[in-house]
Amino acid sequence: MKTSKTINKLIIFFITFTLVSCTKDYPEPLIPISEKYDDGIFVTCEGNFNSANGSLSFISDDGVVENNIFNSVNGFPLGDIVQSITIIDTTAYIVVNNSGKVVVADAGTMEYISEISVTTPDHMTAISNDVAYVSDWNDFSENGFVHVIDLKSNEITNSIQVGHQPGEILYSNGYVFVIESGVWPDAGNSISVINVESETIVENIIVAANPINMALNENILWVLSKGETGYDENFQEISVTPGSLTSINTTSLQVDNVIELHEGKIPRSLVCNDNLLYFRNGQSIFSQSVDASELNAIEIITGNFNNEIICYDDHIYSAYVPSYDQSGEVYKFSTNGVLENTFQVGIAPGNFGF
Amino acid sequence: MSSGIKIILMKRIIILLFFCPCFVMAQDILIQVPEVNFIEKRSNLHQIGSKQWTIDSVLTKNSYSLSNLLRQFGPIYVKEYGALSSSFFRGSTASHTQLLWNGIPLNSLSTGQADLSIFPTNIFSDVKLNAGGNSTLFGSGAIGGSIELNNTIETNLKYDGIINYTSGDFGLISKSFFYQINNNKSNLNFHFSKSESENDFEYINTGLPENTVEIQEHAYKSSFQYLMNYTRRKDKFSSGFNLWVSNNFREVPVGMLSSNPMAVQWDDAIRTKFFFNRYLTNYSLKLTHAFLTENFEYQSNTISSHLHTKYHFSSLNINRNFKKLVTYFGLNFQNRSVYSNYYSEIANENLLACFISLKHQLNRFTTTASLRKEIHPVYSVPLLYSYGHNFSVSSNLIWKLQISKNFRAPSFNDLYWLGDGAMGNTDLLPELALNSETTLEYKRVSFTLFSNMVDNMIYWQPNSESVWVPQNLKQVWSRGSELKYNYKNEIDKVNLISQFSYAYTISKINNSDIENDNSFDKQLAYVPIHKASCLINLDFNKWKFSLINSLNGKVFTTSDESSDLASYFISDLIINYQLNFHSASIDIKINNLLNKSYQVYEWFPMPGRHLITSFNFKF
Repeated sequence: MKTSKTINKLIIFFITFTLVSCTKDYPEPLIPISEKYDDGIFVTCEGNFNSANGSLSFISDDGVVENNIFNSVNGFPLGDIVQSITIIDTTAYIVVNNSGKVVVADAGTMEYISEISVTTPDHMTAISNDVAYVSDWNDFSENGFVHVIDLKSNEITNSIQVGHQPGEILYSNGYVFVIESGVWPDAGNSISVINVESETIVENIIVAANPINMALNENILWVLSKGETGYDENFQEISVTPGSLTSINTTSLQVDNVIELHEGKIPRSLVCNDNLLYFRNGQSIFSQSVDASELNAIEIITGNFNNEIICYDDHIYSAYVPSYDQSGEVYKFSTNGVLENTFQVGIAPGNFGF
Repeated sequence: MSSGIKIILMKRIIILLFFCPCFVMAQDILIQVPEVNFIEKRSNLHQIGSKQWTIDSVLTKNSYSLSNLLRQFGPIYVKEYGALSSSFFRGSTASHTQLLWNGIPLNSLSTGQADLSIFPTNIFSDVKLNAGGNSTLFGSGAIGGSIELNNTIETNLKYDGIINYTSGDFGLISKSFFYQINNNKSNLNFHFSKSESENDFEYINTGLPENTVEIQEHAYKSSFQYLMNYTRRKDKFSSGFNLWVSNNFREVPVGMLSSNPMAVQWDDAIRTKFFFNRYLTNYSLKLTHAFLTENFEYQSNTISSHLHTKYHFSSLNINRNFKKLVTYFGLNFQNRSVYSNYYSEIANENLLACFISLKHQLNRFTTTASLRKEIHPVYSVPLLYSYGHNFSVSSNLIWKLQISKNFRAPSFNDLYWLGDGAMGNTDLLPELALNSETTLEYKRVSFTLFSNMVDNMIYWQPNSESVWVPQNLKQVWSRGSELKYNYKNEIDKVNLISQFSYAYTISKINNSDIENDNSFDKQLAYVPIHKASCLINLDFNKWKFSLINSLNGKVFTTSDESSDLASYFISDLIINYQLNFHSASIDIKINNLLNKSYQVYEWFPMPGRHLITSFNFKF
């Protein structure tokens, strides 16, 4: 009898321990359905590689930031490395690089519509409201792809093999231009040109080492190259080539001009607005007229940013990633460099879209 | 010295050397013959001022891997994802735990971490945990704590061999064999163990538009272990060797939302250790040489990584005993050479360490102090020190204190990596830590307060060219408390043993060189503030029940506390039944008894309730 009492006591002890340690189930957050994402700018926040914590932030024109909007609306996350966003008509195409998909959502409400499977997508560009091209690293392999996508069925209709790690992609004059960026220490140095009629590569334009961004001004495609730093086997710098801007005529597919940028800095990010090119070089944002044939840039902002910039609504937005395991920041500047606002966004803000 | 005392002393040496020299046993012996100086392992000095505990053999015999064992038991937090599993002692980082096999460091030279998922637990005589810094004893990496895997000779075994067959859900099959040949002068034993698992459990993918039930794919793992230990004793000598051949293969799973590059990984190692010990009345001399080779290979659709390591570890330990003072002096030479297809050339380093330790006993006061100096060609390590004491305030109450300076050297990858968008940095400084802790032990309860300040923390960050480079960027202060309680009772042939542990850990960034760092003064990612575990063993007649409960508190998944993973409570149950036939026994282990759905690392699924059945036959 005593034994059974002891056992009873023990059972009670087990159960108590189990109950006390149970965690509460919190209710799901209420899903806002009336939210509209029409007047403002989207920020894609990559998240950390393999952590699937990429997200989308939205900064409205009246300066209100809302984070993690896709998850709030749909109740599930975007995935691993939210690389870029392209708005075509009223639909948002959100490129989720390491989840191998392009998520299709309503650009106004962010409601999930569908998704397109692509191995390792990077950027997307529309050539019409029915057809878009998406660049694909193809699992980091030596040869990437550019896929042609039918936006009615959200299916890949053709795949064109291109060089190592295709990045930004732009459409102009019947051609799609795609940066072949390579992976450090194997620098890329070329732009592949695809004729959208034949869906084949018609030209491979050589530019300065490490092309990273492109911007279009009428018939001129501007390509920003980071330049190259060489190291010896003890990691000592042995050679440095400065970054540069290459202008390419999108009709003749010829290089018009190459403008070498300031030495000793690594440029990143290029946008074109109102006949002005804005680019970041090191910790500063410069502007230069599209008509200038040599370096004539004015430093308009110096600050703390290390990712993409964009011009939107006569303002410059710039992203900062303190590290890949915490919230990033977006700064809003007037075009003459006055800081107007700072927004805390998701992890690793990279690209913008509107 | 009379021959009687000499015999007692010899016995004692043998017992201490060849038995499992756990704390309780050493204490018992000490009580029996208090007037004689005793020779013990230098690594056990950590007990003075800090804590060392041996994990119950019920758990070590029933765990698939070290990762599996530590995740469920004790105050250590274990982070498992993909092919990697790392441990976090007291809010430190993954490279702040030193894993040792018979005193030889096992942490990967390339990463500085030990992947706990490839280390079995059932081929060792004991698994010990040392919480707190002990770099003066073990060198680099022992900042948060250390884990010892030991093979000691067990002369009191009632059998010569064990055959074990285990099978379980998700394709788990494991076979192991142990046999020993024992005579007065020598002992030879070997373990052989082979296991494989498909690991293809079901889970609900909550990250998809519809919460679909998926099966974990590409997660097969297999392991082969062969271990041989030989010891020969003659008069005042003992010598022998340990040989451990380990082959591990696994498919590397990815998170439920990430693309699968179908990676596979091989971790193969041959580890040997030779030792020669000489004992005189008040001296002992120990010579050790270990040689470890490791082959690591990782293949995915596009990434191919090879690593080949050769590691020589030689040490000389001299121990001299005075009346109330025990002194240790030692030299340790290491040659480490790593070939990697991601290094520009074979990285070859020599390391010399010299150390001295003292232990002094005066009535109720036991004190220890150690100094260690390491000489390394790439970075300089300051003089390391440690001080600890145990003070018996009364027969039931012990007060412990320990203060130590510890370090973690930059790993070979930190220094020499080159490729795939990342680059090592030979200008890195070692991470330096100042640890202090104090413990009160009253009967079966122990309460500890600790503080651990780590400076020069190494973080990989992209530089202005977007190339990932490691830098000494942050200072982290971890502090907290630990509570441990043991309970034993026997009522009507029912034997109850219960062990409870609770750890409260605050581990925050104290200083950062990153501009606008939002992680300042925030809890480190994946360091739970609360972790509790409770082991209950119940023995009666031929039945033995073990219930292992663990509560892992909420963890932040980002360094700025912006997102988190919910806490989870997991119970495992082991039922053991002794058959009448040849001390055979059957073990049934039910993991995740309550069938909880949880994540240890964001978006990496964990298995629900599953069953493992094991049959043991002793002869």
